[in-house]
Amino acid sequence: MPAEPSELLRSLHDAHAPALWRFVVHLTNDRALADDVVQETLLRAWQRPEVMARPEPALRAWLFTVARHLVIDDRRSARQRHEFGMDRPPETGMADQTDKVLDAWLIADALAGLSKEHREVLLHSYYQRESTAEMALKLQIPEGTVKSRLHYALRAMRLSLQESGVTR
Amino acid sequence: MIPVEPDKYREWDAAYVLGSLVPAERAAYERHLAGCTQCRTAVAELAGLPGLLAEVAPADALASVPREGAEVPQNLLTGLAGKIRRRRFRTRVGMAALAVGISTASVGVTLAVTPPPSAVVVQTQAAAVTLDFASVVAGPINAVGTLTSQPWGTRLDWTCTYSLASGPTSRHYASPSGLSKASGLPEPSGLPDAVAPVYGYTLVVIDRRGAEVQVASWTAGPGTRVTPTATTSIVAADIARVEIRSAGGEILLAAEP
Repeated sequence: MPAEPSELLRSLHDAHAPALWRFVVHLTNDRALADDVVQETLLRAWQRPEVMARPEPALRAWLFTVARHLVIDDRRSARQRHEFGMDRPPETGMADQTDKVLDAWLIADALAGLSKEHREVLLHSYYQRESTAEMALKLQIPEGTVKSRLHYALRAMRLSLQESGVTR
Repeated sequence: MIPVEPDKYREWDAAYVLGSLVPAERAAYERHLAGCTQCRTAVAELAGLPGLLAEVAPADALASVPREGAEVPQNLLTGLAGKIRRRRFRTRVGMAALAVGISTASVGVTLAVTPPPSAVVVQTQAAAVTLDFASVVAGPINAVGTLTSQPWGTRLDWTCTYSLASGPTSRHYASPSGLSKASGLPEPSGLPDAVAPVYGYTLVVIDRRGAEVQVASWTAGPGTRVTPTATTSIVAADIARVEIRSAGGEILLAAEP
């Protein structure tokens, strides 16, 4: 027996609204607009059984793409209202870049979702190219602890990126 | 082969993959890897991550702050219900074209009338009441369905079977749906053979006070079987009668729960 539509909407919301909302806030820095865009996006998906039937990564990609386009549309109409004119280049080639932009955002979002300790060692290790010895010195923790934190930090990243469909 | 010092190297995988081991340790770890399947598997699992981390520019990564206070508002789902409800009134006619549209619209009411969102999930499924549709006008359609009580109203599921044009046919079964001509016969003469005739139908719920509401519409033709679903805010106990009508409004089948 198929799930109740209300449960379907709730599970869609629970699975996707948080990341979607952070994504739109990241794009717009406007929480009220983000509420609106996320609601509209979830609603559109929910009204399309063929979209809801897609496997999780494809559904997620669809949601983020729709949210992004809603943001772009909103900016366009705002520009028209205020006649900003030529100070912003037209949004070209957006569709091609959506996947890559989305992945980059999901990865940054996963980084932000790590615990402070995990995030710290990962930033030092990967983005600042420091060795475990350098990190031990800077962070005043034993080298073994650095390795252990990196181990758990990278596993947490992997899990998070699997959940968001970036990797398997 | 059993690794010599399994515990010492167990957590070195990430530091190795990220390139943070000092050269002497890296060499030692690689020697260990040659004989340790477990650690090789661990490294393989993490191998794709540096490439993914590379998609975030270092400046962006370093400028990022831990996620806090940036949590999705609690009222998003409730707001969503309101949005659906408002939309329902705007597009009721358009959505009536699809049974799924009807379910969509009705949930707006569901969510809206149950303010604590968690209440929606705790729906207890009442026993279904069978709907035995009897023909009002003789024709090729048979239908059977169920009424299921829900905290927000009633859900209706039914199956309509259309026999291939056989036996007595009524003009009422061939109400216009845009395809058939005014002749209204199941096999309109003006249509090419390849196009099966398709007719429009509606499901109407009549409550104990005699008020009626159309809860679904669909199309079907000879030899097909359809299984639509609809919902209504009318509680099951108040439903006196359920009718299947032609798009032209003729009552074809009726059931009393």
